Amino acid sequence: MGGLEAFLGVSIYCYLLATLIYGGWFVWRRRALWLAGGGLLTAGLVSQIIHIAAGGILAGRPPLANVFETLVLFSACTALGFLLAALRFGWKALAPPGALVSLLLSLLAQGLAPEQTEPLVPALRSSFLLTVHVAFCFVSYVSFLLAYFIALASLVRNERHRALATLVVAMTLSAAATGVVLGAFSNSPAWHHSRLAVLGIAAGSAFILGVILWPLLTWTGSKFGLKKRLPDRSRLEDALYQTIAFGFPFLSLGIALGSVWANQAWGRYWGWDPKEVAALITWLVYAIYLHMREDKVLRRGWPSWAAVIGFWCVLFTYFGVNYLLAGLHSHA
Amino acid sequence: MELKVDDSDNRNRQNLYRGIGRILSSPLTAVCLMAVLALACVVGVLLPKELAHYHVYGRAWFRILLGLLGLDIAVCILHRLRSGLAGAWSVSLHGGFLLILVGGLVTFLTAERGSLILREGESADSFISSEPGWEPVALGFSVRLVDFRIEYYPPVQYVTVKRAGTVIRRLPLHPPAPVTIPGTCWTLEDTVLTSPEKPLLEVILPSGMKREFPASVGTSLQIAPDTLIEVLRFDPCLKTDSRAGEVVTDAVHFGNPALEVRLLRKGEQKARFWLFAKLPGFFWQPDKENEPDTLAFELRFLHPSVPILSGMLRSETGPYPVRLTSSGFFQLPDEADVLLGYEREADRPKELESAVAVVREGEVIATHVIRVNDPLVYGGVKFLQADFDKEGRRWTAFAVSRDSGVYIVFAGYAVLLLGMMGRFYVRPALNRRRKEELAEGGGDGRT
Repeated sequence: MGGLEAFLGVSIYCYLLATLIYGGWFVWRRRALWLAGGGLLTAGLVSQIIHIAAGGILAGRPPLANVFETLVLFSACTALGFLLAALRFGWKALAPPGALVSLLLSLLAQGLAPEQTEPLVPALRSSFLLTVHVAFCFVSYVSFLLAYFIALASLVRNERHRALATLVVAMTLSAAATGVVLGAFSNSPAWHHSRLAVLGIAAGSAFILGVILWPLLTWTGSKFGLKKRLPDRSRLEDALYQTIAFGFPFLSLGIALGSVWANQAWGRYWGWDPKEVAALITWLVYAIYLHMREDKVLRRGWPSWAAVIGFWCVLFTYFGVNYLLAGLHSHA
Repeated sequence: MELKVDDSDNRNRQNLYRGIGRILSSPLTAVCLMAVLALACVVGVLLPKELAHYHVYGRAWFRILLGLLGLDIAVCILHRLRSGLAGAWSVSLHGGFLLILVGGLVTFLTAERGSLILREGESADSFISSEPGWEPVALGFSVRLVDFRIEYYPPVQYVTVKRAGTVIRRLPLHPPAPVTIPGTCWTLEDTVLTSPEKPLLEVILPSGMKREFPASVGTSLQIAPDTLIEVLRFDPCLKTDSRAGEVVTDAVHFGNPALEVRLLRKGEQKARFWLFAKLPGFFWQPDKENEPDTLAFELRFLHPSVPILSGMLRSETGPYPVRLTSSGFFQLPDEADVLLGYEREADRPKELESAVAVVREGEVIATHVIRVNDPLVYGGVKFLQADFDKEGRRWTAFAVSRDSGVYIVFAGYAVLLLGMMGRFYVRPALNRRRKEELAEGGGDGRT
């Protein structure tokens, strides 16, 4: 296990350096800086892929069975997805948030790493369907994460929604930082004794930090003319649609395959289990986004909010159900 | 004379239908219905599962909401059909979702679910329904359990660390490798796992000397010139009913091996108590009429089913010997709220296999090995490996379901996904190619 952890450690360092170099790129706008950041991001991704592959070979199964393993996968997919999106849309500014998010997810994974690979209960063993179900869901999660950033950029670009969007950006940054700190304390007695109280305190702290960050971000945005650096709104909304249109079928496939697997394992394709319902809510929100775009009145700015809410639903489906609610899915 | 026919009622009716059709096929209606459904699901997901089913998913209003969504989708499909081939992907996408709703309705109306418990060699021609009343439901054939096998993972061992009463870490244990206790200056070293070949009574005298005796019922052990220990009773799984003040036993497996002994001094009974293999150093006197006796020595009951982890705790303050079993905890010196324990996870099922035969009119029609993720499907009935007798391994339990809606739902998934691929991947790709061709042709469609 020690050698395996080293690959995760290397990827964390690469993502950290990439994030710092991209920060420099934001200020000085040198091409060499962006390329260096991209190189480090790629190196971190390669290291993480090796970690995932080796972990799977050692465990004798695809490494997708618990929160730690899926977080590492999520981190790797984020790095890859954001890099590809930056190249696809020609927006270099998409790569830096990818590096930052990959770093945060990897740090969170490290905090939650189990002492050793746990063997699987019979229901999770030898199931190709289950592996594909998880993989497809994570491809969709990365798409929706990318869409979240694009949606916020689009809303910041929109005069009517800018203030609220900036508040959401501030809350996102503070929640991400709080989440990583929470992960580091996940082995403390307080967490085990009173999870809801700890989460409540964390949420409250994140909220206060976000409220403090909000005017700071507003001032920074207007001082450095950040709004003008963003692509224009129609391009952002097109990119948003393309990103969600890419991820939505993967989410649908993931839910369908999960249902087929559940029918094999538990004898019913839908049991209104919290995880299933949370995934359905996520699916409905993105379906609402797609339908809003078809309506002449609703399409003005509001679909982007649906994309923002949709990603919150993704986070609830992935983390909220595991840590706040119990159910058949609570082992993954 | 001209006969005038008043057509206004027909026209009004047609206008009404068109208006309803427009409302139902508008994206705004779909958005509203999906938003209400999502909000209802949010309430459901936050409630405990049984309450969620009672207050949300099982309610008539929820089903009506799903019905309205289905109606909305059906009208949308009719609307799209007018667009011809251009609307084909959208029709497939929406049609697939409608099929899923229809399949769900069929499941709701017709599905039967229940359970079946069988011992090896036993047959059954019905299962017990999970509906209130638990009535038997005929299968139309018999199922016989031929063989039941469990494959286990190798046992794993942990040193557990409790802080403030809560287990916060489970550290993998590979004797004799040392284990560092995180957050303290202690390391557990020289770990050895022992378990006796037969039940023993261990006496640890004040001088530190240990003596071991076979713990056979009826034997007497002279541990001092005037002190005798007599072994009275053995129980493989002692439990206490504190309300009735009685000792109860589960004689099937070694869940809590216990030994009843009595202490005699100069021929007179001084105390009578129980010793527990899982709780070294602890004894229990159910009969309060006896004088409580502070023993001048330590008695321990060792049983083959209860391994003991022995080791040495080391730090700057000095070494301390440690003995841990799966129930006892050891308080770390100088760390008031940190307790060490030992956990052994054996009997973790890796695979459950039930070899069954389907019998009709005395003839074996089919055989199958039912595993988790590999059910038996016969005659429209599905048998899934659900549970087994964890204590005595005497029976296996199957979840049974008969549900024709599942095929409609799965067909719906296929149609929905086909529509999505076409709508979100194929159509945009074709549009892009058409634009490129138009651009190459000078933008006016001429090549």
